[in-house]
Amino acid sequence: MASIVTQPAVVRATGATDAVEAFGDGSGVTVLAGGTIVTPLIWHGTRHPERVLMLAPSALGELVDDETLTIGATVTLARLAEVAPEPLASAARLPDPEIRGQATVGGNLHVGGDLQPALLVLGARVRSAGAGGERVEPVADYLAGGASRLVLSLELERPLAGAYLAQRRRHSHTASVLSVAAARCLDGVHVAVGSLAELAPAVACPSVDRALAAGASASEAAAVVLEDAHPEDDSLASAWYRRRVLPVLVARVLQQLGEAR
Amino acid sequence: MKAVGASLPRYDGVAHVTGRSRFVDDVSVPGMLWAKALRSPVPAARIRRLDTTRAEAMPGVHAVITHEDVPQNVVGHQEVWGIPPDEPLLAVDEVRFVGQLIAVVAAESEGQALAAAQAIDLELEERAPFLDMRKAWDSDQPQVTPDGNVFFYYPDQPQRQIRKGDIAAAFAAADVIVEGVYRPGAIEQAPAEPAAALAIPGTDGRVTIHSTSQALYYSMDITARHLRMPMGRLKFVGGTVGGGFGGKIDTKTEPVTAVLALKAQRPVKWRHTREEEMLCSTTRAAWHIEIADAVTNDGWILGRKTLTLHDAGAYMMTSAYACSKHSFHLAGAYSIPAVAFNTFVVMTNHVPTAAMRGFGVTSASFAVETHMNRIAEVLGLDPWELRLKNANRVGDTSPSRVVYGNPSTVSTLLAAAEAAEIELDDELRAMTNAKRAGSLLPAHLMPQQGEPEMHPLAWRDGRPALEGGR
Amino acid sequence: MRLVVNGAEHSIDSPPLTPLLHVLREELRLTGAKAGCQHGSCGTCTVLVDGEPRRSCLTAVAAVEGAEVTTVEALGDPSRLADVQVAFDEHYAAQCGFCTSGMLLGAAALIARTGRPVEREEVVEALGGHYCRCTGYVKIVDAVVAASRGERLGAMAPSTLEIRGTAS
Repeated sequence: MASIVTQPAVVRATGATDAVEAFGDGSGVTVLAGGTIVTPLIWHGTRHPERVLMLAPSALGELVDDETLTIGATVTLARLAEVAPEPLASAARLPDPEIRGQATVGGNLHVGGDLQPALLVLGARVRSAGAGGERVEPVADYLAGGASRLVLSLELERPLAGAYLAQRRRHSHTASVLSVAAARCLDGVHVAVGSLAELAPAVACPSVDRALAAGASASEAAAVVLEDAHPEDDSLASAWYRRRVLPVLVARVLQQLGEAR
Repeated sequence: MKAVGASLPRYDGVAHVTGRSRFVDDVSVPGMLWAKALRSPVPAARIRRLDTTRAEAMPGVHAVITHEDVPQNVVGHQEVWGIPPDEPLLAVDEVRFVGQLIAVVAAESEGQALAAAQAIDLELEERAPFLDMRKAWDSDQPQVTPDGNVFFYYPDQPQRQIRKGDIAAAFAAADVIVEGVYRPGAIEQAPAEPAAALAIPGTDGRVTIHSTSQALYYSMDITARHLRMPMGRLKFVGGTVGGGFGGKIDTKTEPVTAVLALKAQRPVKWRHTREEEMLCSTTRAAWHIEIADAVTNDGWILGRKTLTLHDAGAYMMTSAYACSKHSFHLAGAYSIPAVAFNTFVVMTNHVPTAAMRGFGVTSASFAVETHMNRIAEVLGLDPWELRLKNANRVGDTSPSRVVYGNPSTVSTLLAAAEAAEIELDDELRAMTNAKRAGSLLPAHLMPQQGEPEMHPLAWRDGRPALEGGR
Repeated sequence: MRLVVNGAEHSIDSPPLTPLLHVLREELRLTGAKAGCQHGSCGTCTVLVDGEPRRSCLTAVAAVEGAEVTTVEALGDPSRLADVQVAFDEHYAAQCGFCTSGMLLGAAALIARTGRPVEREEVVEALGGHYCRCTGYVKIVDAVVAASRGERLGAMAPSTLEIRGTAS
């Protein structure tokens, strides 16, 4: 019994080479890895892809834990939670275990996902394929470019310390109302905010970073977050509510960071 | 009586834990078609054009229904109580809420039904919706019904009202008037199982309908009236419901699938998506409750006035009933000798509201109990003491003049205090629900003391005897 | 394509992007897994894929080709109930029963994976994606803890709910 009437063409890739080849320049292709967001969208006719590229868990599933941590795009959030440093590990533990065991790192980059602020503060890079071939770029640039390429892997280095908080119902399969990540790296503390609105990409908060570098306290630095982060109304929360809560969350994350080693 | 107090296995326990309980969506019959609905995307509009021709020609489609296919399209949910019928099963010339049913398709697969529903030609002329019940009397607001935005309970009186005692005297005698406004919001019942129905047309003019209704006979009656069929020609199969909480009394899936099944001459199943459950099915209403209490400095409530607005949404459904129930509970569990309660049913362009756990009463409880805390705060009194002295006792009278025989307010309050580990002083802890006397019977409560009429059962020769006649 | 469900091999006609939930319910007529929300939010569709609990409404059937799928129907039948099924029945952990199939499989996987009596917090974490609108969850947690201890009361259980807080 089919729900969608016109079945899209399905291509399955079990390794990086066939994935890149099948993706091509990405036109008309929807990537389906864990499927925790995309499967129902296709099935209920919200999305009408011409072609679906199904990635097997092993297709881009390599994880190399070295000075640089390299995480393949089809690595699950469950696996990521086991090996990643904070704040990335806490972000990966937000979904319940069943979703966590299926959702992938690559997928999270495309849906305003909870990993984004953690990846930003860690200075993570995205290796992707698509039009113009393979390239590596900072996560922020990838998100700003529309996040429409085939993610191959993420690369990042472990920080000195990290902290993360999300405003949400525990384990619910929804976007967060707000998410905040902070990391103390060799070049100072970085803060980023996510879930400012449904499907909105996470943003770095250089104003907060600068305030901290200038010696501000956690609450003083948190107070300037709205210079960089601009919440909007959506079905989960109002911009008004987000504007009130965000500085509180940022202050708490910074306090947590201060305690973290 | 063997069962009371005993721990017995659930009769459906083994079925539940083996996954064998048969919910409506678990039932499948040969030749079954799937239904999908076209619903209004806007809260208020005139239907300028509705053309199902394209949809009817689409692959897998066996039938498309509109209001023209429903033998009796407008049926009220409370006609037996004198509430005029106002709600169309399928929209006729207007839509009054987001999600209102306009047309429904039956096809070989859900996907085909969905594609066809999306192919129905619908032209709407949107108009401004009325959404804030506080503006019910503003003449510049859009009117939801031909009779305006306020339901008239009686020809000369638009509200449900309760009157008892001398309210003017109570307010004149007060040391303080304590006011408050309480606005509990709408809540979706959100049962784990979305509503569903499977209608199977018989060859003998009868229809079998598998239903998720919480109230099978009620839904059978409404379905029979929509179909203009005697109830005896319907067979409803149900009782295995994956949660209802009041949300599965609204009877839409049964008559819709029945009309489709009769038109297509095939069984038709319609299961709500979670989106339909959240956005389009009935919810608990939002309320606006204003309370003004005449109180004395030492914490007696001499009188209470209330003004309630109930957001019924676009159609009456069971709102008149909810507001009656609500009104009777506005004294809370407390003895208030003078009351003037006024409750209005306001029509808006929200989804029609209906029952949810404690229909009409949870809003009153929330408002009344919060208000008691406010009174305590204003007067500088302990909120437990305030409640215990005003608590209903034997011989006190309710707003509807029922004399209490054995009210449990005092014992419940004391049990709650103990469970919450609140230290009450000895005088409070010794309180009972015995008839008021001494300091617990101030002058203003004397006139409303009565004798509870217990009507004890007669016994003759060791047997209960029904004594009738003069 | 080929699908192994409850130890039996099936040849599947449904297109590859059909969610496993609908293949189970509508093609194979195994209706234990439920369509509570069809977008992964409620857990009523949970089945085991190679022993791991997964939302079948989020899993395209092609993604589980060659995997072993286990549904509630394989846990036990009325004449031969598994510990976790007995525990749910004895502890009144099912009211309407709609969330029960998913809860049972999540619980069974937790107990199998842990291999020892579980703590309440472990149950809450493992079943965190499962919604119950009827029971308030306490008795579900009671049942899973009891099942992990291999407890069968042989009689109906008194409630372990205390007014001041849950027994731990």
